[in-house]
Amino acid sequence: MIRNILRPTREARGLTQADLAQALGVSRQTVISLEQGRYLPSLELAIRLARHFAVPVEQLFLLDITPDGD
Amino acid sequence: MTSFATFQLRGAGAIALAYAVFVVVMTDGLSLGQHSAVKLAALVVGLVIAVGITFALLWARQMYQDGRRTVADEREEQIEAVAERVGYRVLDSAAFLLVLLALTDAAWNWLGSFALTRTEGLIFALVTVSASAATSRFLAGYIAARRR
Repeated sequence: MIRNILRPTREARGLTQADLAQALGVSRQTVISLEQGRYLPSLELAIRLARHFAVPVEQLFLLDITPDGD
Repeated sequence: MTSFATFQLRGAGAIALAYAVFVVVMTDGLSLGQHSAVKLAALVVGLVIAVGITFALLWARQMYQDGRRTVADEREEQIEAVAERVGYRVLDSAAFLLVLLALTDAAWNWLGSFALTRTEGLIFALVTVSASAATSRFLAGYIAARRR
């Protein structure tokens, strides 16, 4: 399962969801869905998000690994 | 409800409304009336144009409300893809059902005025199949837009 820390990252930079949506060229609802973990972005959008926040992708998106390694 | 979900729901409503108009014009009580080819063509083309204009207006309004964008984003494209898949499945199923109706009607002649051998019956069946697929497509889009 993949979770993300988009919301705290965005809030730490003082951006609104609308600001981020406009910067990425997506709808505000897409940002909301991303933050709530209801929507997994494409690799392209994930990289664009990471670049926007100037952090590595794996810092924004975290892969939860079970004890079985899945 | 998001503007994209609203767009999907209004799309389904527009199709259902157009189909309701079609049914009212085509039927006479519980039977299918007789209509000239010109009237049938005008009805079908008129409804297609009306639905097309309605969609264009709904889409433009949705985009304007949502940050004045001009194209769908990737989440919306994914929702559209899910909706299209559902629409095609319904279309396939309805086409198969149409074949069964044609075969059983040929054997038992139970469709009466809706018989597919009549031009009116065939047009009615095809428009019903098309409207079912389109309505399902938009409803699936609405459900997907609410979930994602």
